[in-house]
Amino acid sequence: MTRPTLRVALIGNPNCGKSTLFNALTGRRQKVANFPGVTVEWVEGSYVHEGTTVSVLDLPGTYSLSPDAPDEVITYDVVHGRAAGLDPVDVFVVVLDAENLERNLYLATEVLELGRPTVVVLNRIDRLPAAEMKVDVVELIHALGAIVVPSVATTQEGLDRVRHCIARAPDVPPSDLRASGAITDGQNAERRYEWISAVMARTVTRTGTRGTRSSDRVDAVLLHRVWGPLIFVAVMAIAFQALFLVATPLASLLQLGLGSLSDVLRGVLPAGDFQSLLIDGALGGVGSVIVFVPQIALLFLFIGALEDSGYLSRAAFVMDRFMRPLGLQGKSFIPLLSGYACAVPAIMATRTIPQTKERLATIMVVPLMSCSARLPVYTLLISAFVPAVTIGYVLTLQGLALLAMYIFGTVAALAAAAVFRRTLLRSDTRALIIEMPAYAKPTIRVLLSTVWQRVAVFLQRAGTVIFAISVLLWAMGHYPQAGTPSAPVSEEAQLAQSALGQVGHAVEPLVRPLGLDWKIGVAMVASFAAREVFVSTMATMYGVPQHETVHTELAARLRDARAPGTGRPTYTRAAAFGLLAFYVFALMCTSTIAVTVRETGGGWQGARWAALQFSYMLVLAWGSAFVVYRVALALGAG
Amino acid sequence: MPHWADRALVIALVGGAAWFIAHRAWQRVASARAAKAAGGCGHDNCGCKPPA
Repeated sequence: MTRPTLRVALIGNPNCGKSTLFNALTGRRQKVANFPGVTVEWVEGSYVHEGTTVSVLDLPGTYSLSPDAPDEVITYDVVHGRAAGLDPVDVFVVVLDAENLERNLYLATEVLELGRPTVVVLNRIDRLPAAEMKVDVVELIHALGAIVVPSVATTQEGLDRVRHCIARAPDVPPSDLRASGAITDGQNAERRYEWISAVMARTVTRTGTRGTRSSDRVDAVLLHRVWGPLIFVAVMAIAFQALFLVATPLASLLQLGLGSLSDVLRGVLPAGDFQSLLIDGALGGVGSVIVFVPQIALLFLFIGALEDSGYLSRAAFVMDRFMRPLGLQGKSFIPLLSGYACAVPAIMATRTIPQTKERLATIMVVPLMSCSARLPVYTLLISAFVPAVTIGYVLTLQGLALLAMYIFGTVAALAAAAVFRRTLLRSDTRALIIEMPAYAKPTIRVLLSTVWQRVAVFLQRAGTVIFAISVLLWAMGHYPQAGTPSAPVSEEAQLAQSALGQVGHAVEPLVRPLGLDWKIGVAMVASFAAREVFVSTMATMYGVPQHETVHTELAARLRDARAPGTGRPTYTRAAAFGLLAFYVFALMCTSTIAVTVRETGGGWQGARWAALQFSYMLVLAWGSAFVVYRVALALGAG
Repeated sequence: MPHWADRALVIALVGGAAWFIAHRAWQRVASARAAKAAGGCGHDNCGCKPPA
């Protein structure tokens, strides 16, 4: 029988490959990774099979139908047809990780027990030889009384059979484990495990001893009490060095391209305000952000490779020991690490933390982790004020300074979490239970697709929000006009007289104690919407033309800026270090504020948490900038 | 280009940018309100329950 639409839900344990199967079935690009808890809300996609539109829901992973964490509640609600705004599901697809069959079967029996049309997909069968296992699929079909399809979602093996079985499932009598006497009491976990053990004995043959697996030998090093943390720090250090060394030539190429575009525009457009608006305002602002695309792409490539290799769960385990004294557990570590990329998905990733107070504490400190939007600010100030000195053969002082920014942010996040967990959010810390996924070679296609998606989001922001802000900033910097066409004034005088200059002068008393002037004040105010606007604002204010290398030129102008009258540097190294400290700690991102409001309960309750988060980070940022500036001055960095 | 044309182009682009920012801000507020009104938790597409 052909149906106009068929609604299908993918259900399975965390990290069993549901999202990979979802992407393979629907052609969507839902984020996938090799660690548990990547999908924290439902995602819908569809495909057409033999004239029937099949709508597929990818659900957060869960170990059972007894929900614990907020993301598991979503799966529970969908399975029981209670999810707001969703029609009931026609077919359940239970995804089993073949390598961890015993644990995965627990959820499978719970779903089969519902007596609804169900297809069981035995995923990752390609890993069985390495795991020294064999699974008798026919025996498994007999034991479960359900359709079982072996598959490898990453290579799309067995996908046609999965589609075929989904289409036929509504016409096949559902499995009835109760009637067959397999499960006698739906709530009895012990009885269920006994039955699963018996099924495992009949269906799975172990061809070797698991204790000698190569992944165990690797884990012995990576999870070692001493080597584990050291290796983790070394991996991070290499990544940040690479960010500086590899991305620089690529950024220079982009700068050349932007310079050429600027020259073309200058040749085509007649001189005047409109030409200045397009070239100095729009192109200058957007261009100064676009040159950071190589660094951002590399950052996501690095995080993606860590995720897909299976190392991230090990890192969470290694870090659990350090997190517990702070009142957090290893599960908080994954959102914190995701915060290096962007705080918005990182805050959403906290849904895997079952305990409300641990989750809230993690949400409150995630924005302290240095996200990719801070990278342009760090890079600009570091290349302007930290000498390009090589230490040894590979390390550079600038690379180390960049690493230090990330370390400061991380330490502050952990310390703030400890304070929250001992004051406002006091409760016991639960033990960490986390799955160690099998090591896997990252799939280049998937990795590049993830990087491209992130870069596309960044470019979209540059092309819309940052473009609009750059245009407005240009206007604020040019009007009201100080001179006349017949008697023009200097750029400096015009800026001081403009609306932008007046805003800067108004906030100057707040930034003066940090050794900064009104121009930096303007850039700081403008960047409260989004941090990366700092760089484009400075480029617009300093009128850095695009035909030069905008980033290098802007860094040089900041370094060489002199105070009128005295001739002394406008920005001392001490002030630059203080400014770096400000950007490490300040929450300057409207998207993060919005997601905090939503994830902490919404409405006034959420707004209160978001206000607390914004305020404590602002106080921390200003205080740190002041201390760093004063200490650096005392140490002679004036 | 005549001075008035130059000025008109500047006003058009700056006005467009201001409208874009205001429109985007308004969209966010409206979307959050709609999600709330539909009985959700404020997310666009999820059935999650916020922390108690």
